[in-house]
Amino acid sequence: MSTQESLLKVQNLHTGFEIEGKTYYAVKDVSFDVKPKEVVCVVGESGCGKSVMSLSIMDLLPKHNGKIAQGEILFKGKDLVPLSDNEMNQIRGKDISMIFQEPMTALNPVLSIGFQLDEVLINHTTSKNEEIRRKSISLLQQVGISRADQVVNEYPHQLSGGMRQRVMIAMAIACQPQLLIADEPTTALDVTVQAQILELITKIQEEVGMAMLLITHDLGVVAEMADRVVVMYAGQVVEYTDADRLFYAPKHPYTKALLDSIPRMDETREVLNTIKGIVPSLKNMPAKGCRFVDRCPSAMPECAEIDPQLGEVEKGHAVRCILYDASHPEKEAEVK
Amino acid sequence: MLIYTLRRILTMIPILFLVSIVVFALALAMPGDALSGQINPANANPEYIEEMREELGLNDPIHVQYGRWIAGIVQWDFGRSVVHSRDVTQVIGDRLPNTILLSAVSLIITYILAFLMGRYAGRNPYTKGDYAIQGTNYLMLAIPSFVAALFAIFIFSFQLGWFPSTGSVGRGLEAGTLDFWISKLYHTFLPALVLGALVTASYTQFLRNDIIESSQKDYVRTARAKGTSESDIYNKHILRNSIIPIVTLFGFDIASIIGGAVIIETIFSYRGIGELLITSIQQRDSAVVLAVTLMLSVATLLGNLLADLLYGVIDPRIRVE
Ligand SMILES: Nc1ncnc2c1ncn2[C@@H]1O[C@H](COP(=O)(O)OP(=O)(O)OP(=O)(O)O)[C@@H](O)[C@H]1O
Ligand SMILES: [Mg+2]
Repeated sequence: MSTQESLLKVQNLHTGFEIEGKTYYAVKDVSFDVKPKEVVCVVGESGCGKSVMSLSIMDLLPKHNGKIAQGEILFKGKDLVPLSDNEMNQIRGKDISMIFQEPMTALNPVLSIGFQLDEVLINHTTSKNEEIRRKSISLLQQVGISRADQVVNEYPHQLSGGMRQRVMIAMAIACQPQLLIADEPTTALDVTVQAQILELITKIQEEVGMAMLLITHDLGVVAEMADRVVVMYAGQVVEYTDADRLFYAPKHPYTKALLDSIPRMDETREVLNTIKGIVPSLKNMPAKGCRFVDRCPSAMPECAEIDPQLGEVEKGHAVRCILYDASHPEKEAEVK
Repeated sequence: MLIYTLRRILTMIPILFLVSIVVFALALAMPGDALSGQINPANANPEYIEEMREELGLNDPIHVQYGRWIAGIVQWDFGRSVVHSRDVTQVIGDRLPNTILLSAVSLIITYILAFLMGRYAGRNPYTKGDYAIQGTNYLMLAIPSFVAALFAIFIFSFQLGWFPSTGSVGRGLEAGTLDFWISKLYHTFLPALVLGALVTASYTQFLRNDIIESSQKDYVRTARAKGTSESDIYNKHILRNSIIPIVTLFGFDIASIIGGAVIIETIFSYRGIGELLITSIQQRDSAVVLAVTLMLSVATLLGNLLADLLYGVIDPRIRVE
């Protein structure tokens, strides 16, 4: 890893939901960082806390039950966790923006596309109305919407899912943010549209020169786009390294299993390898030991007893598994 | 939109025809007729009564009577009121402005109260203020309007003396003067408040629940992600959505307000259409009863039409076809 200063540094993040008076952690001890102009991918099965983690960064957790319980989210060295709503509003949409998983519901059905696009510019610039509208139209053109001057007067229901996601992208890049968080931006779209949208995001990411935190469970996308990869399992980071090492020298048994589950062109396998079992639900998280133990092919008796730590097995490659001394709470001391 | 409007208006014609038949049948089903209320059978010569019946056409077959009635209506002739000895149009014309004023004031009060209370409760759910508003709502929903009217008269007129308890305008005021109108509004306020109570309560509840529900929607999260302030989120994003069902209910409530006016006007001795209907029924003034009933039905139909059209105007998802 380069010594360059991090743009975003998440440290020891814990996010919990209050359910029936008890707090359950959907994100437990997540740490990683994103450097300027870098693409960091977050992968993991459904329900492992990817969305909750990204909403935590934006302070967009559901207000009635979601809460960051512990940890720091440093953006350009400044902790975002203690900031008030007003202070966060200065950052959201301007320095950090976000694209969501569901383009169909992410836009307000009764407000025109133009209104919703103008809004982000009104929030963060002092330009005049006509100027803002002109900027909105050119943003729509930039994301590949051809009838931009008509689309500004249209409403979300008049646009296809792909078009809506383009509008969301236009909104996200309107103020040229330094960091774009894209939470599975293509999952809800048709396969053909998926490729176009990803291509658009990559193109714009390079044009604007922003860093990107891309959440996905498509390892093909990771291989194509990622500089570094965060692998999450059950609310924790289990492996964290650059893309090359992840694909060619994976360390964590979960990462290995994930990689094993992608179909390969050069193999003629009858059955795809799948990881047996499911991610434990929030309420059924094991109280101690490794969270992957029930599904792990290399599980040992101690695995159910010892809480593995996220430790660096080599420079720039962190793993949470007691197969490696760096993750072993007792042996860690000896390593150092 | 224009085609839709025209089509909607055309479909009203057969409905109106059916309504007129039902109204006419109901009036026929009323015991007695114009004469039985007016003439004491013990004093009058039965032959004379028979003659009068013949003359008024009361002995004709039903379909002939109906045809005559409809033919008159088409020419804007609703017949004569036996009790008032004037044309029905004139009798109604005297009363209609009062009822329109009452309904309009009632709707205005309703919308203002419901908007303020619903918005407050929706933005601050599960707080003391919200509980207070909800408590008031349940009271307004649970108490029948005539009981509420009596309570209102007792408290605001008799105990506090703030508002008059009867009539629609003060005595001795010349029509058209400023004092006259002020007195009119003053007399209208209390019945209008009571008349709107039920609708106010349901709108408030509706708005509150809708705001709470909308505040969890994905598009609100998107707005937050853009750095939109909390007050803009409520005033622009959420209210715009939550207000739609309420504005469209407006048309339907015209009907319920007019229906409610019949009771409220009677209790407040407010000289409007509702009070006219009740007294006309008591006096078997069938021409007036027919005309008023038909008018109320048409108002209901028009209200529904208005509701549909408003929906198209205000909700972009309906606007385009
Ligand atoms: N508002 C909430 N209240 C309670 N639990 C929640 C809430 N939102 C998420 N969770 C729980 O938190 C866990 C992580 O959910 P999250 O949405 O982050 O998963 P994800 O990794 O984004 O999955 P997917 O790939 O399906 O989007 C899940 O167990 C989910 O049930
Ligand atoms: Mg998700």
